[in-house]
Amino acid sequence: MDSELNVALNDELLVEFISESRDHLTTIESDLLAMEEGGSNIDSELVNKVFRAAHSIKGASGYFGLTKVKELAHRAETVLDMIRSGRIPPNAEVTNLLLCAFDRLREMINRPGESNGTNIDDLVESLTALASSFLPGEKKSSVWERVTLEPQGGGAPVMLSKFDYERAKDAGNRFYVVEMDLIHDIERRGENVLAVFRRLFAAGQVVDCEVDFESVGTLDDPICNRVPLKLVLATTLGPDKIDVLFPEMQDRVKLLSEHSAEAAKEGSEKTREDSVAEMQAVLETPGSEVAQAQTSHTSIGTSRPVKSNSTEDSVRVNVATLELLMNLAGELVLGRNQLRASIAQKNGQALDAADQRINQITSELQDAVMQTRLQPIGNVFGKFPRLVRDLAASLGKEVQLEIQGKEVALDRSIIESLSDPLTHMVRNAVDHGIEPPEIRIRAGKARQGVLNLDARHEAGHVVVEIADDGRGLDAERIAKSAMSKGLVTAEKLDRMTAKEKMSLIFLPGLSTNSEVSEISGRGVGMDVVKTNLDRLGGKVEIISTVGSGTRFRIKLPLTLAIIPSLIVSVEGERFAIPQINVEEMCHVVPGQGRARVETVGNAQVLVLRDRLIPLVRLGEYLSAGEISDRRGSERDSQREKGDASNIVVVTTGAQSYGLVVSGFHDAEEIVVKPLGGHLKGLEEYAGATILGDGSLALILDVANLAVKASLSATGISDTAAKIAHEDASNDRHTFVLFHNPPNVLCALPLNTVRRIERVDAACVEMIGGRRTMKLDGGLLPLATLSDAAQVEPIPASGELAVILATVRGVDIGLLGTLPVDVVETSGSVEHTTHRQSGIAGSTIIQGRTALIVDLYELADSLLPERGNGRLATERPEPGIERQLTVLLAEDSDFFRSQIERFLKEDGYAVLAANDGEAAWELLLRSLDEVSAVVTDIEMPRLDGLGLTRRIRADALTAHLPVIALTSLAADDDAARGLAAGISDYQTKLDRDRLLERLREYTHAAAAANV
Amino acid sequence: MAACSVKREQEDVLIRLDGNLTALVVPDLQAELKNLLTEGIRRLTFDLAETAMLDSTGIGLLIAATNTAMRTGGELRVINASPEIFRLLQNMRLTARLNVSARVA
Repeated sequence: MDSELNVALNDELLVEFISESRDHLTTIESDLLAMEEGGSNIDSELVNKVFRAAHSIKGASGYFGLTKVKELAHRAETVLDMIRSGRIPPNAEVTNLLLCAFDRLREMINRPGESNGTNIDDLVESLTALASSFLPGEKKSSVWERVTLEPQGGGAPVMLSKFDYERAKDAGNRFYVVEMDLIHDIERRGENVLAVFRRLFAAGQVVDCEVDFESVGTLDDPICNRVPLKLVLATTLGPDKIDVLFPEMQDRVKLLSEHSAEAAKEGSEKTREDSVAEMQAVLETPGSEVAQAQTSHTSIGTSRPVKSNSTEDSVRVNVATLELLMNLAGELVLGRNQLRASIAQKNGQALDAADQRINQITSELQDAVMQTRLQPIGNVFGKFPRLVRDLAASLGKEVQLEIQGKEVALDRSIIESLSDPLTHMVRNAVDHGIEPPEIRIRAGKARQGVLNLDARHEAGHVVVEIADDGRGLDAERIAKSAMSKGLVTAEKLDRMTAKEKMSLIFLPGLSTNSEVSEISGRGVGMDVVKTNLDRLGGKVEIISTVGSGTRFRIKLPLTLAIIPSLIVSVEGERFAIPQINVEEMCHVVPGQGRARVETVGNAQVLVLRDRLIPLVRLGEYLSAGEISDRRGSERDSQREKGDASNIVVVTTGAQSYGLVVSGFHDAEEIVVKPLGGHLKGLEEYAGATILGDGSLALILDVANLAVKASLSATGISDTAAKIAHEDASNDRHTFVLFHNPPNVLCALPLNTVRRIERVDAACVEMIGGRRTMKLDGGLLPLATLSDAAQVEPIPASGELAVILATVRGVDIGLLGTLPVDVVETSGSVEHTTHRQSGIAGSTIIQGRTALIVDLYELADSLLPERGNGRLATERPEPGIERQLTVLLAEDSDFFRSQIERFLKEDGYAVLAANDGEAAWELLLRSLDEVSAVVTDIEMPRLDGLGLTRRIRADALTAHLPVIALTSLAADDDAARGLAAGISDYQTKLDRDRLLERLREYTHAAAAANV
Repeated sequence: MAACSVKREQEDVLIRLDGNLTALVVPDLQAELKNLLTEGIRRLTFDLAETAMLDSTGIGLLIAATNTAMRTGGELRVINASPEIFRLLQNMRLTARLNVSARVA
């Protein structure tokens, strides 16, 4: 190959070559193993298949200048050829060597750029040695044998390589010899040679071609007017149809037939070289492989059952299917004609007939098109014999793999994504499920374990089962381990069935623990398996008995291209929600039934059978533009009236939320169409579809919609969580829950938490009596509740949770044990019973008492010098301060008591009120005392803004500084606040900032009064 | 003048076609090539980097040039053939005889 022809990685052809070669390689493995199993009883078709694969890799790699690939493929091919002719037995040694060779080939093909630098000497040497050790004196093989074919109707016989001939013949091809002139028969007829050959490639394969150089002449001759050539074409087209390829040349196209059964052998070295060159030329043609694959499928589809793993890739469509499609398209045209005629004649009866016909054709067409996307699951199963063989050998186990239902077909996108999870499960079964031989014998089982892979159709789904007769899953052990990891509570476990307990192996935390996997038999990365299958819309079920084996049952949809969906409407537009995402639908009428919509701050949640489901109002979410302007007021009024809502509860697998829609419509099978490029950025849609009435509907991507609507994974709307504290009527709080061992439930208000990390206890360093850990390149001081309060210390090993918070401008981490959860509660906070240093109080969460952690006190105990330093330098003269009284208006008991406590601690007298109205009355009664007002915004009766307006409107109080507290300081809130006369905004629970600002105001006021 | 650029370096000539190699340009090109080969050029390289179309006459020209070169003891190469052209020549079993190499993207 020319040196200029270096590997071009971005070459489309190369990409095609790589993917094709990978296809070949996937099936080669199982074929080789089948060969080994067959022993001397050689399945010639199987060997031929592997041989052809090696051959086509060799040919194409030569074309791309991948010399090492070419050489190795060539050596492997030689050995395969000898196996085919029965000169080498396909024993374990030979199979191993070939497997290694193909492994190396795969590596090189996966990294074509580096392939020429790969060392293949060892393999080349072994393969050569193997071949030569079996090579008899004469160096002939069927590859170099030739056949003579005779044209029907007379003419010179044609010689072809027997290999090419047989290969093409096996695929059901006929052979034609064509003699023509490029100038006269093509150019002068207004045709182009490229176009003519393109037709040939599409219809078949040029197996030989000879251009008569002599007749062309030299440059000295006048402009050339003859380029005669003789080509041999292999095609499935019959003699009656061959004219299509060579119009007006009937007399020059002749069907070839075999001269005699006996192949004419050509011994001379020269002819052999020629045939090599020819064969290479054929195989170097990337297209010819495709054509060949197509034709071979035709024969498979029509006459023979699929025998070995076919190299089928859904891009290559069975010709029979294509013909069916063509037929249906024809039928459709007829149907259309019928329809038009009946419309023109206004003939109702004929119209009905046409409707029926088109309906039927469409269903058939849909089925046929679906066929083109389907791939046999054997493509995935194909790699398992090797995997199981190698893995079992390396583990010293004996495993027999049984595969059923290879031919079961699934959508190609599913097949592609199924490979990883299945591999994982098969690996697990061999690794952890099946016991070593001696243990099996002791348990009274057969020495050899059996791993069964089975695929079958079941009620419109495909069921794939992976079953082993190994040690089985011990539900109780899994449950115990999950509990000790803190992944599930004992309470929950009590209610679980054995099956549910086994399903715990799909939990992320459990599966990373290798110890567990050894005890229970499984568990490595099963969460990943589950995630992958979830994504495909699949369901996994575990059936297992301790001691006798485990069966994983995976149920998959046939396709993702046509999906059953629920059609909903929102403001006149229709949307499709894939059925798989739909959990349930509810029609919520206020005051009726048990489901109800509650408002948390300005976010809404659906309360459904004790579940709190965040809501996304699809209409509001989607129509930020003019539609909302036009209809906004109407909608608002509707919302305020608390009208009935239609809610679809959808699930992404990880979380559920409710979509508020205007109406429900039918469930329809929709055809997913990709969105155009200009809409590609809209991740909330999975695609579009055309509905039965011709209108367009966008398909909602439930998972992305959740992300866009900023629903957090904890299942509580972020917005709802953030403003839960401002909730006027319910006094809801959102807490981060964690544990302090052994069983102390602790809670921290969510909005004080910056983030949560999982760390290993070993990462915690104890230096100079202080705990720290490395985080983001710095040292993070760590606190535990036991630093300040009388609780048990945190364990020194295992996995811990670090809850990060910023206290007085310093990041600290609070250590706790798993599990960490986020819950919303409306329970009241109790400030006395459990009150001690580091603990602000307690509340009842999910029936258990939770201690509410006081981060400030913890931080003080952790870094006393900081807290004291602040007190010493910043606290103003007590003389001035002690006179000051702050009016505090806050409706939440929890926050009111928190703020009141730290205000008092800082030396203020506090007058507390639980709404604006009460605060105003209190203020009027104690006008002389109050020197500042601290108020919440959202409060019942009179809110913070209203209170501020009153204060500003009254001459007696107008001068008072008013500090407003919010959970989240939004800009427009601040603007409204300032307009109302609020002096400053502070975030709740940022104690230091609030005190600092308060000091500034009260100080200034006090100074002015003096 | 032919629709090509000719770069000459001692006995080597690189002929870079500006476009397609079809009956339209063949007469000019043939005259040009004839001159070059009589001037003792040993190696002729056709660069088809810009060539998308090749017709029967174009193929005829390449064959004729090869025939001439063989006769005068010279050599002809075709480089940068587009994938489609390369495939055509390959199926016509001409890549070896015309020394054709494909375009590298």
